[in-house]
Order: sequence, then structure tokens, then C-alpha cells
Amino acid sequence: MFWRKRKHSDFQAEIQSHLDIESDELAEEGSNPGDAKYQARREFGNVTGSEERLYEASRWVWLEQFVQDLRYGIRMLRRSPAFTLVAVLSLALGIGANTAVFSLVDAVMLKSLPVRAPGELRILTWVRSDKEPDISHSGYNTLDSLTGQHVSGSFSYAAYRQFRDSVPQFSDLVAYAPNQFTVTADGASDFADGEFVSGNYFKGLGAQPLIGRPILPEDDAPARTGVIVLTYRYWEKRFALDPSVIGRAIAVNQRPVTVVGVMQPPFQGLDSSEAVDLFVPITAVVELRHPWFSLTQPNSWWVQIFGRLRPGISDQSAAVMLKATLGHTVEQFAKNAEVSTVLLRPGVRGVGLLRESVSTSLAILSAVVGLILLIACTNLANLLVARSAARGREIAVRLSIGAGVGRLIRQLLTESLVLAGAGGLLGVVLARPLLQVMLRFIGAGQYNGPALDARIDLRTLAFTAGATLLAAVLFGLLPAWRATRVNLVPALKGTKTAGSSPRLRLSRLLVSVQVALSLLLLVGAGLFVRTLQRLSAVDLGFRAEHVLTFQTDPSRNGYEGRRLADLYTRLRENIAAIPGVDSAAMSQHGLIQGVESDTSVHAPGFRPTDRKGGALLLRCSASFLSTMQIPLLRGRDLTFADERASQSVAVVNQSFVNRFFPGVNPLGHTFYLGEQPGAEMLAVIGIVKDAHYTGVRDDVRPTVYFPYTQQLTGLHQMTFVIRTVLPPLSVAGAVRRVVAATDRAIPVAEMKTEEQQIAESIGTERLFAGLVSAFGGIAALLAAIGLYGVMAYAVARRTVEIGIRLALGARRATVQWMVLRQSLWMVALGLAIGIPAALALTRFVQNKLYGIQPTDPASFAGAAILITAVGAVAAWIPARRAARVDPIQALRNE
Amino acid sequence: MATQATNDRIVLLQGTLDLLILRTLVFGPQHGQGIARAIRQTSEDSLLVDHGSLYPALQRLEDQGWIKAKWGTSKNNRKARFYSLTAKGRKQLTSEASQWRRLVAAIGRVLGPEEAGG
Repeated sequence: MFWRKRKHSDFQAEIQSHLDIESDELAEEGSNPGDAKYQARREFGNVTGSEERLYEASRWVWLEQFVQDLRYGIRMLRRSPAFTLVAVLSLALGIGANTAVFSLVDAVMLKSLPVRAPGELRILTWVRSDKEPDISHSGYNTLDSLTGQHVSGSFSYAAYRQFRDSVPQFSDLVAYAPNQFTVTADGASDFADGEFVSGNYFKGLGAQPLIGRPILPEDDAPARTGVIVLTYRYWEKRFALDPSVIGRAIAVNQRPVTVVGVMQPPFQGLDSSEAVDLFVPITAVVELRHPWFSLTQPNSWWVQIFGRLRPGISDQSAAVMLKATLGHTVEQFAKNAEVSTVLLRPGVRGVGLLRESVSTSLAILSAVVGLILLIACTNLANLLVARSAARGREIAVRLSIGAGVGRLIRQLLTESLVLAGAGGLLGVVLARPLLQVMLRFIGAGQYNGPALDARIDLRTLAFTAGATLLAAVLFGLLPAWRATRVNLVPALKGTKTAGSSPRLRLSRLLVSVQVALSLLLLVGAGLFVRTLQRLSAVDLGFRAEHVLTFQTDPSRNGYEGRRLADLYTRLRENIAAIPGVDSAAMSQHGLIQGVESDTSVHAPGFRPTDRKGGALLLRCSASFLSTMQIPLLRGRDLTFADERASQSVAVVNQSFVNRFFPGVNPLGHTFYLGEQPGAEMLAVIGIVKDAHYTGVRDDVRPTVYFPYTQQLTGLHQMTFVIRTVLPPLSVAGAVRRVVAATDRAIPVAEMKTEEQQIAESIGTERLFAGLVSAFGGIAALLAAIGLYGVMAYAVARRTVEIGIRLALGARRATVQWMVLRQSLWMVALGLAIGIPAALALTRFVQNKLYGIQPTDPASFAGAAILITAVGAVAAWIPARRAARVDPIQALRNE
Repeated sequence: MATQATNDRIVLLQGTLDLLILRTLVFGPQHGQGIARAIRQTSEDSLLVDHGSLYPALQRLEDQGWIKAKWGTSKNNRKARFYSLTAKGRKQLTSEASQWRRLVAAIGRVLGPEEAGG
């Protein structure tokens, strides 16, 4: 073997030569040759022992022994294929699931931004307060977990320029703002999520392009904004990795631009909650006539900023300087306002909005996969204990001829390592599809989904190797230690000791632990399945069946105001005329899309039952309520005449009436939106039943439906709803053709059925219900295998005893019940451990549940009954075998 | 003359064998038996090398790169594995020897003058 540094024969030769030389010299000194030889040997002492010690001093010996153990282990495993199959499969599942979840956790929680020295980056935020200026805010607000303060991440463009000019503590300050664009290329238009970025963005971050060049400072000037840079995933999705895309002219919001570069695959902007498709120079907000983002308005706050702190500079000194500068820019447009504090947040992992929203889900997933691995290990430990019982004689022989206990444990652990290694390898294979399933559910229902760099990479593999090793020790050590503690004499004689041996007690305990762990998973499965049932049973207040939806936003194609309203009317009419379409309508936000508009409401002359909280708004077309089949309770629906009429009208829901017009017939009464008493009054013309708007889980809130034509300035995107006679997707092609016939450049995005939309909105719940049920089922199966193994062994050991009992007149049913009873005791002990544990643990998943308590009796009872039934079935086979023991045969064997 | 077991022999302290081997090899390449004999003779028979320890020690020194070995022929024409000092080993010897001398001196001071009669 190549690692054997010196052959054993080489050692022997050396020692032989020693003896020869010694005897030569002794002979020279006067001894006769025969004596000399003998004397040299005596002088030397134990030659064989010396050879062995010399051999063992070689540093490769442990490796050689390891290889020996490995071969022996593989041979032993080959001899019991059923055991090996169960072991490897269950481990593969456990390790694979853990690997998949780890890669997800790694991508969301642990990975640094793929930029130069990410540790130097800081996110600029300011703490929100009552004294803050009146601003139009676009961006994110979040709770800073370190300080417990509510912070905003948006600044005005002027503030950003000021920071760059007068805060020297940062070597680079880069700005960006997320935005959705309409991209037209190859004759097709579609939505794309992108970022407006400052000219120094890529250089300051140290993010390199894969091909072409990044956006440069000189691109970021109003006269030269015609360039964009793509992310790798968009290049792949939209341009099929075609390198000739560099230099190609495409259109963004109908403006011609040139693609100048594609970024390297991992770079996805600075916020992982939404994947980015492309980057546009920030000054292009002028050229693209962005409705909210302004370079000049001091109260338009939409720019998000990352800074690279110079080495040796404290966060404190930088924050002080930023605050002073920000205060100066605020002073110029809002006299009595001030910004309390500028807070620098660590930027090493980017903006952590996704981290905050999914950390609970990831914790649950980690716990679930951790449990399944633990169960697999417990099961395996149990099977190994049983095996070591079968190998008791072999081990006793080895021990009695002088094998060291440590050496034997090492050998048994090597066998465990072989099992775990095989499981780990197969686990890596399993991890990939599992990860893909999880990613699909987690990102469901959003346009692009989160930008997760989740894949099976070296980091993941290192984790897997660790998990494999841990598993091997977990399930291997106890049985190995136990195996070497045999009583040599009876083991060698092959006698079976009656009664319950300590080994069997250990096995029984392990089965109970397995039952307890499985119960945890089954209770979890019950809770999540019932949550999903409750969510599916929610009366949404509208009929989702037979509805096709899509989103569009022609305002990015230059349509505005009345022209846009007319276009929407024309599109609606043309779609409604498609054969197979019952009716077509639209609303500003789709139902159950997770997006909403809200405002405060004032009805002069009425006192709302609840002072706080306003109402949700939904701009919609005339036929929207009837298309969605939201039932009208009183008054009338919005009509096409209302869309054109000068009188502002609204339909409200029952909750709205209850809050703002308690106890009266609201028809004909008026109210206004917002805080300005001079605002336009809306007359209530109809009342509809409560219907869900934002999401399935959200409570229905007071809602105002009013014609989209009433406030033309705020008119932008729309979600069309199309009620069909045929299956909804069958008219999808016709809808696309109709839109294209009206204007080829208008995007048709997110085309799906309303039912699909609802299902995607509860993707996490569906993932939990499916995954935890599957794992719960596997856990129950493993528990059954464990229980079967122990009982089968116990029955085999007690064959003689059972034979005597039967010979003495015991009834077969009694014997059968005896075995069953023992099994049920193990299950009962498992329940006694598992139920209190589950009661203590399920409250951690409380906010993922819906409509049930974490102590839901049905879930607990269901889990307990299921695991008991599985246990009874598993015990049935050995129990029947016990009842069929032939007393004569059994006693003859003795 | 054949050596005889006497009570005056000193059992080697752990680690001192390495030092003695290195020192012996200063005079040139030597095989295992030669090293053992040289130590015994230089110490005027008061140090007896346990052969069971000698070869593992040689192996250890070789692994550490302080000595190197190759098969050669002994003076009475026997094949033997000859060990020789490497540069690294020479450096190791210097530092270990001076350490040893300091240790011996220090222990000597602690024990004080030898008592008569013993």
C-alpha cells in the first residue's frame, strides 16, 4: 500500500542485521559462534516485541488499522443488507434534509455580501420620531433588533449628495433604490425588478462584472443615462446567457438603453428579500419620469445608502457627522422638524429584511430536520445494540484473546462511520431536490422571489461532513461502548441468560425515546395540516374559482391620466369580448396579493366606533365586485356611468359601515379620505359583504371600493381579473393577443389563476404541512422498525421460556398479549415523555398556526393514536411468532 | 568482554535516549547496533540501551527529520541500516544538549553536595 512508509520486512531486516553484527562482534571478542548468536539474542531481549513496537512507532499504522477496520466494516454491512439499507436510507434522509435546510439558513442568515471587504460596509438609517419632517417616504421601515428603535432606510437625493461631499469618514457612499421596470426586448415586454444605482455603486462595493463593464460614475449624469447592467439570473432567464447581449439596444420603460455588462452570479444587489434583474443609473429617474423618485424635491425620501467606513474610524464619529449633515438638509425645507439620530447598521450581510421575516420559519425547519436526524440516529443506535447482541460471541472471543477495549470500540465506530458516510453521500444527492422544493414554496407568490444564493457548495458540504461525523458518534458510541462490556464466560459458552438483560433495557429505552421524538413530529404535522385546512376553509367573501388574473402597468410606457384610464377601459372591453370570458374587470391591487393601500377616513357628523385605524382602499373598475362575486347587501354596484360621472361615489363593506356609520343606513351619506377637511367627498352608493383583500390570514378591515377614474393622478398599475366559463388558463393566450393588439409594448405579467395566487400566498404553510407530515410519517415508520427489531430479538431470546409456558398450559392468546403488552409499555413510556415535551415546544410555532391553539387536542390525540397504532402493528408480527412457538421444538433446542 | 547485569546501571530517563543517539551520530553515520554499543562504551558501561526502545526512537527521530537512514554495508560486510545526522538534527542536538546541561546543573544545586556513605 502506498502509505506504508517502511515495510514490515524492512524492520525485520534491520533487527536481524543488528543481531548479526552483535554476534559477529561477540565472536571477535572471543565467544564461540554458537554462543555469540545466542548471547546477542538474549542481549537484545524480545525480538518480536521490538519489531512490533518499531512497526507501531510508524505514524501510518493508525491509518492502516483504519483501512483494515473499514474493510471489515464494509464486509459486515454487506452481510446484512436489510439493516444496511434501512440505516443508509434513514441517515441519507436525515443528513440530506439537514444539508438542504442548512444551505437555506446559510444563504439567508449567514452569507456575507459577495463584495470586497463586506465587513467595512454600514447601512445608513435614521431613527423615526414625532419631530421628523413631513416627507414622502419610499423604502423600508424596520425595527433595529440591536437598539429596539424604529428606523427608516430612506434619504433624499440631496442628503445623499451632502453626505458624499461632507462626511469624510466613509471612503465610499453608494446609493440605490429598488424599482420595478418594464423591459421590452426581442419584441416582448415584461416586468423586471431592478435598482437605480449611483455611479460609484459597483466601484465602491467592489462588485465585478462577469462580462462587459459595470455602471461607472460617468454614466450617472442626466445626459448619459442610456446604459443598464444585468444580473446573471436575469441574463439567464431573459437572454439565455447569450453573450451578444452586451451592446444590444433594448427598452426600459420605453426608453432606449444599451446593455453594457452582466454581473457575476452571486451578486444580487444589497437586499436579498427581492431578487434584482437589472441596474440603472440613478439619475435616470429624470429621463424615465419616475412618479415619486425626485433628484431635486427635498421632501422626497427614497434613496437607500451603504457606506464603506474607513479603517480605524468609529461608527460613532461617522454617525455624528452624518446627523449634523442630515440636520442641515432638513432645516432647508422643514423649519421645525429635526432628525433625532442617524444609526449605522452592519452591512456585511446586506439589508436584512428577509432575515427578519423568515427567521422563525427557518428555525422551525431546522428543528424539524434536526429531529428527523436525531430519530434516524436513535433508530440506528437501537439496531446496532441489537446487532452487537448477535455479535456478542465474536466480541467476547476478540476480548478474551487480548484485543484492547479501546481498539474494539474504534473498530465498531469505524463501522458506524461507514454507515454514516454512505448516508452522507446519498444525503448530498437528496439535498438538492429538497432544497429546490423548499425554495419554490418560500418564494411563492412574489414576483421575483427572494435572491437566495442557496446551493450545495463547499460550505454546505463541510456542514454535511460535520453532521455525518456527529451522527456516526451519536448512534455509534453508545452501542460500541455497550458491546465491549460483555461478561466473557457466558458469552463464550453461548448460553442465553434469562430475564431482561441490561442490553434489552437499553434497547427498550431507545425505542421509547424514538416514539417520543416521532410524536413531536406527528403533533407538529397535525398542527400544520390543520392550520392549512383552516386556511383553506376561510370564507374569503369572493369566489376564486374560474378567475384568471394578470398585472400590467402601461404608465411606464408613457400612458398617463385620462389616456391611461381610457386605455384601461379599452383593454377591459376587449378582454370581456373574448369568447369564453364571462366578465372582465380590474383593481389597483389584486386580491390576496399581499399588497394594500390604506388611509384615514372622516365622515362628518358621525363618530367612528374606533378612533384609531382608517380603511383600506381599492380602486377598481365598474364590474369588479360582480366579477369577483362579492355579494351586494344594499344599494347598488359601481356602474360604467360612475366611471365617467363627476359625482364621486364609493361602495363600502359591512365592516366599514359598522365602524364609521354605526347604527344608520349609510346610503347617500358622504365621507372623505385623508386628513384634509377640504378633500373631495365620496357618497356611499352600496354596501357589500366583507371580503378578504390583502391576505387569507389578515382580518377583514373596513374597505372602500371606488372607481379608478376618480383620482387620475395616482393611476398606475392594475391587476385584471377575468371570470371565465372554461378553465381560466385556456383563455390566457387570447388575453395576451388582445393586449398586444392594443399596444405591443404593454407588459402582461404574473398571469395566473386567482386560486393559484391564493395557494401561493400560503406557500410557507403548505411547505410546513407537507414537509412535517412527510417527516412525521418517516419517523413513525422508523419507530416501527425499531420496535419491531427489539421485540423480534426479545421473542427470539425467550423462545425457550415461551415454550415452557406453552407446555405448562399457557394459552397462545396470553403469550401473544404478553408480547403486545410489552410493546405497548414502550409506546406508553414514549408518550409519557413525548406529550409533555410537545406541550412545551409547540408554543414556539404559535405564530405560524391559524385558527387552532398550539395545544390543539385533536392534533395531540391524532398523533398519539397514530403512533400507538403503528407500534401495535409493528409488535404484531413478533407477538404472533411468539404465539406460534412449538413447545417441543423450543425445548429440544435447550 | 561480555557485559553483565550490575546494579550500577542507570535506567534511561524518558527523552534522554534521543539526545544520546544524536550525540553518537556526530562522529559519523552508524547503524543501530553500533549506536547502542557506542553509548554503552562511552558511558563506561553505566548506560545500557534497551534495544526495544532504540529502534522506535530511531524511527521517531527519522520521522522528525533529525536523522536520515540508508542501507549500507558494515565493516564486517553485513548489510545494515546506517543513520546519519541532518542539519536540522545538528541544531536540535545543540539546543537539547545545552538544555540538558542546565537541567543537570540545576538539579545538582537543589540536591546539594553528595552525602558520604550513600
